[in-house]
Amino acid sequence: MYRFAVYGKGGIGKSTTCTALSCAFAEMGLRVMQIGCDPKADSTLYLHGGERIPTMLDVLREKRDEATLSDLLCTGYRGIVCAEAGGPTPGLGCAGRGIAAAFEALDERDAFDIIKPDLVLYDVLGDVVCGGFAMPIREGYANRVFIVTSGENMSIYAAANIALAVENFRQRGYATLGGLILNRRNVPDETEKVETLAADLHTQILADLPRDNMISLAQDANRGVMEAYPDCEYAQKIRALAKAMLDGEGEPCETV
Amino acid sequence: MKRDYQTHVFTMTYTADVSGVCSAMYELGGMSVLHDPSGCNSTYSTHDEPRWFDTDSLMYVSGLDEVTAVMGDDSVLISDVVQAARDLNPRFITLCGASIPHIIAFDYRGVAHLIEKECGIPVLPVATDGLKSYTSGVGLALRAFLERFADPAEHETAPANAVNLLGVTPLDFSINDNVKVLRRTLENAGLAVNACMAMGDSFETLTHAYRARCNVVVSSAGRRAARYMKRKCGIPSVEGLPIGADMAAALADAVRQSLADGLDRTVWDAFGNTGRYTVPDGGVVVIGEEVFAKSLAAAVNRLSPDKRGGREAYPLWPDEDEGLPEAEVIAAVRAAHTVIADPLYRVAARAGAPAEFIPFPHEAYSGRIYRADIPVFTGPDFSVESLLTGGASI
Repeated sequence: MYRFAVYGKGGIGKSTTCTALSCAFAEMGLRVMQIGCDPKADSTLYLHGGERIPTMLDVLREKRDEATLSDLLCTGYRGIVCAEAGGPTPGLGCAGRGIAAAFEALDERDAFDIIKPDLVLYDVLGDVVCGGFAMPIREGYANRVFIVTSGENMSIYAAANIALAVENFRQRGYATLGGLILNRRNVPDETEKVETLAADLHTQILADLPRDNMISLAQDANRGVMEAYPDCEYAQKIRALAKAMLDGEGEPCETV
Repeated sequence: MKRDYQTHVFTMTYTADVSGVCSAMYELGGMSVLHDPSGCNSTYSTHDEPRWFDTDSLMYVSGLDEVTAVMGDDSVLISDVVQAARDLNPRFITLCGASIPHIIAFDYRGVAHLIEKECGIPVLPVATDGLKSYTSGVGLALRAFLERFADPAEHETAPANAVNLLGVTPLDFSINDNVKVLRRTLENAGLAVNACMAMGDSFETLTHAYRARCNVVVSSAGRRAARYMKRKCGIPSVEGLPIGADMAAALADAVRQSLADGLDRTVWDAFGNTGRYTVPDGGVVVIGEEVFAKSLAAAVNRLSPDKRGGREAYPLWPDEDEGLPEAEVIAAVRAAHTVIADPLYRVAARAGAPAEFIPFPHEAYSGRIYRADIPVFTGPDFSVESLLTGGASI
């Protein structure tokens, strides 16, 4: 089973990238599971025609131990199994603990043994700010981390911090860094900046995704770009990225 | 109706999961580390562990403090455990914890990995949260033990009549002869007890747990281990306790059937109540751990009607996560003619005023208070009929 986590600064396009990747992996014939790890719970939105699915934490709050595995999951476009961890009311509770609780609920219900996905993709909120947000890269979950970044300085700083966290946790048997995904914002010197980051992190840029209006047009129609515009340049680059992620799996990946 | 599990005016709560972990591991030669400021440790040693004063076991608390927790500084725990392990050289280490590590999403697996790397001793991460009941802790601990030390390939060599007893701790069976009688009851029925998890058997014996053809789940604490072994190599399980001659025979029959067809079973039939906490008026209510309560209620119902006053028995058991909703327990008690429960439920029974109360102490509920009165109930010699005549008016 392939187990990938996608991190990056808030608003950088992680969910769009993850959704498109899930579709690309599904096109390859893989049974894909996408798990959104953000209290906003919008990772899998465009795998369901723009409809929100019940979050795991909302289901657990309502049904507690009586919640079944099927209560926690939904099946979306191309049979992709979707889950959204969800989170507390903004400003209250603990979002990190929420992610941990959602993951524990999946474990308790033997989710991966029952669903038997070929590939699990974790779409994780912004930065590794506490234990809960590190859950997806802990032992037993993702074994490769991919960071989405643009050439904007704040995005690069966030990417560097995430890579540092991954390196710090390496001794614990956590995931390793699989590479960077450049999601263009068309800022000056974008390529050079991200190449410098990749060199500093001793990793590689796996994809150079164009800023493509097709994404917005697809989302306006409540669909993912892979579904609405399967032949656009972005879709083709996503397919190449998906292939590169699978090809790199299992090979040692040097980090800082 | 939204249940209120939090308010306990008349009733107690059951022992927490962390004590369940320590209890399950107590006799296996390991070192158990409870990651917690300290309170859970004293609760365990004072109230939950009857072997504390006469049997040595390596039980430690980490002494977690606020700043260490908030900063996620795991180095203190790691260095303390490594140092203790070097001094004491335990066979393995179990790392569990209470609610503070849980809330900060403490990384049990990662820290276990680091400790093991430093001291070379196997470390079992058991991610308890201090919020669930002991059945959860026992279950997680036994499953962790199986994951790490038992080899599913051994199932091929299991004798045809070999069974395991799963969920056995003093929290449900105390330290009288219950476990000995339980074993003997099954052996007298022609079954071979392969492993008793986890009282009275050695570490080595338990590592061969897969040399069994059926798991007898004698407490709901054994369910996780049973489910895990079923998934690993298809071992079926039978839930039930041989409380009295009739249930002893029924359990042996159920095990023989499961040995033959590989299907899971329980020794009780469905109870005719309408909801988890709804009990018809004038019945016999048995309150306790789920397998115990259901087995004893079934044992009562198997008596001829004249021996049980024509009454039906119904089980009430705590939810592993939430416990028992007190208002509904009192309503059930109020509706009952007879209540069989730990003596600490007598207060709830007074509030509800059933006709009679039959005390049946449970270590996981009242600890050492009524330990001397815990009966040996796990074999054919236990008389359910005599139990029913032993009640007292409230």
